[in-house]
Formats: sequence, structure tokens, C-alpha cells
Amino acid sequence: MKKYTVSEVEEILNSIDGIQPAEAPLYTYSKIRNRLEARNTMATGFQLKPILVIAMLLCCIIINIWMLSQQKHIVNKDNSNSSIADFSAEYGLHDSYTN
Amino acid sequence: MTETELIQGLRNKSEAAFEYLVHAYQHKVFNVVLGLVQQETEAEDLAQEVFIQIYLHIHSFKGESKLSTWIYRIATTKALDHIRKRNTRKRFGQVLRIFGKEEEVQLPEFIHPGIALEKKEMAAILFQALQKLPESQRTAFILIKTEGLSYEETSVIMKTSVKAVEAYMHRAKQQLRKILIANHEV
Repeated sequence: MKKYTVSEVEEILNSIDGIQPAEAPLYTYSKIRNRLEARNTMATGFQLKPILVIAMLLCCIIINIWMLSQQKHIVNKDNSNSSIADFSAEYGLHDSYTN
Repeated sequence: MTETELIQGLRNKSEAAFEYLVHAYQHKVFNVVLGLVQQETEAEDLAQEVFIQIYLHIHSFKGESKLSTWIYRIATTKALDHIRKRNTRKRFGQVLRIFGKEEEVQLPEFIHPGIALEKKEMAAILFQALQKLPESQRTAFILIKTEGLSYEETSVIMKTSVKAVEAYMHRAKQQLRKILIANHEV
């Protein structure tokens, strides 16, 4: 473990005096422009996503409509074998309606 | 190009204005960020991000302060955010090391490129000790000592009073003395 004496500490603290500012690396502007262009390309790529989302939603809606139409078809098929009268008789609805 | 023309040009997304801005401020931004993060590749990356942020958010500059003040503020905020993230990763790495899942990665010794050759060793010790200071003290120290800003300019950048900056500097020096003398290997 290294410890420093008071005079060494003062020397360390003063070592920063007269420091010259660091210079940015070369071609900073070109590198920034490249990054900005890369961001714009990514942003354009991102804009495609809502189109995909809309397409997926449309697919879901079409599948749902198809499923519902199929369901309706099955229910209609079932109804052809029975009548409303049978249904009311089974649940005793007929009496309550006539009374 | 005057500051007003520059700001107007940036708002109009003028290429020439942006190029002028980068050339005018690249060294200042890099120097401040480098002083804070103490790693050249990270500082280069952050300095570029600072300019991208300026380019994309120039409309949020209200003109209440000088453009340079606003740029310095973005640079210090970005650098401090980066240090916070790095410290979080470091803490997470320490937790992983307990379970033997990660090896310790030490930051290489930082030697500021603007330090005179005969002072490089001493300055490296100072920069390492600086990492142990609270953010406000470290920011004030870097802006004043490495960027050569006045206490007044620093106070505007840090959104505080001149007296507060004086106190930060006083405490920073005291704290550095304590760190170096008392008990740390730096």
C-alpha cells in the first residue's frame, strides 16, 4: 500500500497545472456524419415495422371473420334439425309465455 | 459566423453550420469528456454522441445561456451518465465474480495527453484519485483545471452559484489530499 508524504501530495496536486487541452481525434466530423446516416437508415428500417404490424393485424381480423363465419354455419346446421318450439318445450318456456 | 447565425443554421439543419459547430467545439468537448471518463476511445465515442444530440435537439436550446455553456452541459451530463453506467457494470461484475462467473477488468492507467512528460507519472496518480471524488467536485475540478474555465463559467454550466463552485474546488482539493495521504494506493 503506497502512502504519500505531504510534499509528494502537493507535487501530485500541482502536476495538472499547465496542462494542455487534449485534441479530438482526426476526422471527428466525418465519423459523426457516418453515425447520423447510420441512425437515419435505422430509423427508416424502423418505419417498416408499423407496416408489418398492420399486416399482422389484418391477418388476425381475416382469420377471426373466417372463424366466425364457420361458427355461424355450424350453428345454422344444428338449428335445421330442431325448432324453436322444441326448445321452448324443453325449458318450459311455452307456458310462461302463454300465461 | 456569429452565434445567432450558427444556431439558426443548426435549426435549419444546415450541413455547413453543423460542420462549423463540430470544428469549433470538437476539442473542447473531447477534452472535458476525456477528463471525466479517463478513457480515450470512450471519450471519442461520447464526444460524437454529444454532437449528435446537439444536431437532433437544437430546438430545445432556448438561448438563455451561451451556446458553449449548453454544449459543455451536454458533454458533462453525458460523461457523468457514462461513468454511472460503468460503475453499475463494475458492481454487477463484482457480484458475478462472487459466483466465479466473471473476471475482474481493471481500467488502464490514464495519462492525459496534454500533460508535460516529466509530470505524467504524478498526473496519472492524481487522475486515479479524482475517480474517488463525488460527481460535483470532480466536474468542477475538471472544468476549471483541465479546460481552464473560470469559476463563473463553471457555475453557469453546473447550474449553481460561484460560491458553490468555490466550495466544490476547496473540498475536492481537501478530499484529494486525504485520499493520497491517508489510506489508498493510487
